[in-house]
Amino acid sequence: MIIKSFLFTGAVCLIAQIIKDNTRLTSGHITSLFVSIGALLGFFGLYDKIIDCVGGGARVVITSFGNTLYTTALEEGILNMLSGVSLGITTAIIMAFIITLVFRVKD
Amino acid sequence: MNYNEIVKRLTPKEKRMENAVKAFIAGGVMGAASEILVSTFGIDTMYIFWIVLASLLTGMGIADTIVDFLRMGVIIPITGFAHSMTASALEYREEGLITGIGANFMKLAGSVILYGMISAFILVLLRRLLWLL
Repeated sequence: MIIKSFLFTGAVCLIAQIIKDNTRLTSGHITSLFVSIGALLGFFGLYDKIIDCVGGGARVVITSFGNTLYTTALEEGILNMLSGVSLGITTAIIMAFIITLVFRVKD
Repeated sequence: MNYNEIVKRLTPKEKRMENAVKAFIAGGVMGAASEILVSTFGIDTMYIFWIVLASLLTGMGIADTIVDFLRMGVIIPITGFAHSMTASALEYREEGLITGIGANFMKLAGSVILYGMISAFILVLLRRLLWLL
């Protein structure tokens, strides 16, 4: 599972890097694109199979965000879709705010 | 040495290869570490660990160096999401709590949430319509 995770996450990042180097898309474009791809893979039922096969490596990439949104929307209703990803978003918001108050930009 | 040779020499072809290898290895290490974290502590702890780590490194000013070196290897995992949020909040800190931090908080992460939600919304509607047929 660890080796599979290594290969999967590495491959996703490799694809992203190739897109970034060969097109004019910024990282913002690519992350948004990958979230949509994750939701699409969830739609075809592929992403849950990838998670079963790969494990943690498939959960850490941003495509997992799209998949979780899709599966939660399907199971708990469209308007509850954020409940599946609320842990990540909430942690990120609280941490970012605390860090912003504590640290200053050095340049 | 004529112009074409100079252009050929200066085109960053090997750099692309190098970037790709770095992104693959960095992403792979993150994936493998995540799998270890998930199997020992659980999924939630894994997310919290990466988000706290990415925010802390961004606050300390180390994250930009890491991102410059490892590129998409650390942007595509959840660390990129946390980094973009903390980085834009820190950058506009001087402009005040509301017009600075508040208004720019979700600058990059917002597009991830927006397009993720819109994709999920459309695809679930599509799925429901297909069920009706």
